[in-house]
Amino acid sequence: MKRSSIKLLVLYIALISLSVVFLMPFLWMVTTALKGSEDEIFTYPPDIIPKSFHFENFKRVWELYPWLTFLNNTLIIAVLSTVGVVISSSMAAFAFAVLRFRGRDKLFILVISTMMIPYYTTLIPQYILFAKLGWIDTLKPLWVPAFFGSAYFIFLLRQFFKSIPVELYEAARIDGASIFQTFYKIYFPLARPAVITVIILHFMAAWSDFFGPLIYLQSEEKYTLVLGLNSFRGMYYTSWHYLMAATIMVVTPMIVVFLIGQKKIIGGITISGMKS
Amino acid sequence: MRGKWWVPYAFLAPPLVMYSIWVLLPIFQTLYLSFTNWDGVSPSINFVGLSNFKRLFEDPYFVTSLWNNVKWLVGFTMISVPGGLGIAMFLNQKFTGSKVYKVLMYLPMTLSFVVIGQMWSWILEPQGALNSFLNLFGIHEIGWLSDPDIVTYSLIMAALWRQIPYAMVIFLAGLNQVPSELVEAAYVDGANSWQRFFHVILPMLRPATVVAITVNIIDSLRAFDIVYVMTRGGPFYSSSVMANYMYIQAFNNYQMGYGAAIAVIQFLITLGFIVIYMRNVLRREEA
Repeated sequence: MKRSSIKLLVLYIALISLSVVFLMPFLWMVTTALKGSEDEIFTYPPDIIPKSFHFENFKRVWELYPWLTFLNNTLIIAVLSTVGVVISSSMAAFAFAVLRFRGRDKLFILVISTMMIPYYTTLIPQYILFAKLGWIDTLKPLWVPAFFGSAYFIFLLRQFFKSIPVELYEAARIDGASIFQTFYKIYFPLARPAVITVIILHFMAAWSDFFGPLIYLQSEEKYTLVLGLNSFRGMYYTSWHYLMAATIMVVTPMIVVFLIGQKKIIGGITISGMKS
Repeated sequence: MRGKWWVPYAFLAPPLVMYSIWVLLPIFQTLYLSFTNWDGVSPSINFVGLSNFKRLFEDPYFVTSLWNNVKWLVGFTMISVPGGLGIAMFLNQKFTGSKVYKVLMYLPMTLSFVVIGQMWSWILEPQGALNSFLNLFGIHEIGWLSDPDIVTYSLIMAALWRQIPYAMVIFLAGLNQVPSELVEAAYVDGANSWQRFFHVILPMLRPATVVAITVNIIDSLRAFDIVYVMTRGGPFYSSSVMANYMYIQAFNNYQMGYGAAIAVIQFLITLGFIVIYMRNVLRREEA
């Protein structure tokens, strides 16, 4: 009895120190965002709890920068690319999991090998291609490629389709359904849980992407939230209370999405041990 | 019952088109460009042979960048893998609030590296939270982001804040696969907790460990966002990594050929690890 209570105490002390290390940055961001002035930010020793709460910082930050435009651009990219990635990845995953054809396994290995190639290996030629198409400083380079599918999501959805008994496919085909009908009337609806995982993971990745917007977007009215956040820092680099307030505005939707879809996200990450 | 032979290929058309135009072709184009001195604008492209590669290894900033990637790699594999495993072992025990704890630990993973960069820039400010804290112990004003000898380690520290929970998720999934009967049997046979860990649990976690290590290696080789947001590779390229140096050369200095050569080096280094990872994923797949 006594030994187990000591064990429990050690456990909780370890947990508390662990959570302090991992949660301190969040706490620090929130308290800084609520502080009143630059003087208050830099007092020593710093106040963990602000002397007074300045929620008006959020209003001020909102007025300082065109966040609504950034939000709009981010949503266009995130929504369109999610639609694209779901359609083409699920079709390809269906073919790889259910259909039988020559060279299937070799093609599959080929396609998923692409998911780990560093993006900058292909970046310069891709940039040149978009420049030729006149797509630089438009949102297109950031969502059109999604309509060609994502190797990672093809992998993830294929796992799911493979778990559906093949008799179902055969029965549908005997009843006269075409391959395409079998896909969109039977397999796609059945894959709903996996598709939702893909939607959440891809949406979060599109929302957080920095490198793509940095390369392709030049004028401020095309910026995404993350790119806007980075440039906001260039303008107000000592006003940490404003910077932290802006950071909170950008991350809050993602944290909400994460808390709602937590199980699906963790499940999706662990299927292949890879993030998008 | 059999459809037309081309139907499966129609389903695969988008990814296959992408694979060819979007990945395969650009790999060869990058390789080609790395043998030229193209500036990205002029119509004529001059072939310069291997001189870009020769120049790279005489370029002190590139050598620093390459060396910094090695530091990232060591930091990620040596800290985030055992750290993630330790925390996963810990959170795998059932106790009051263990679920809430897991969710809290997942949180850093949801953040964009830009956001993490902003948060940690503030923590690592000369008069920021970390220095104020260290002041209590009489340690004064460490230039986390301004001292060339320290800055890379500071960036790795910020990245680890997200990477450790990520490794933890992989190990938690691995721990789910360890049959509890096995651990209990070892307990009944008198194995203490260390023996149970090293002789029963750890061997069962081998697949998860391989995945965690390769993912960390690949992530360390493609580090860019945190470096760009927090220091832009400075001061004087001391915290630069290959991705960041390539971006500067290709897109700020318009040295597309030179930038492509950096991309080629990076690709070759990564390729080996990709092969290891793929073999592992496919083996698990067949099992």
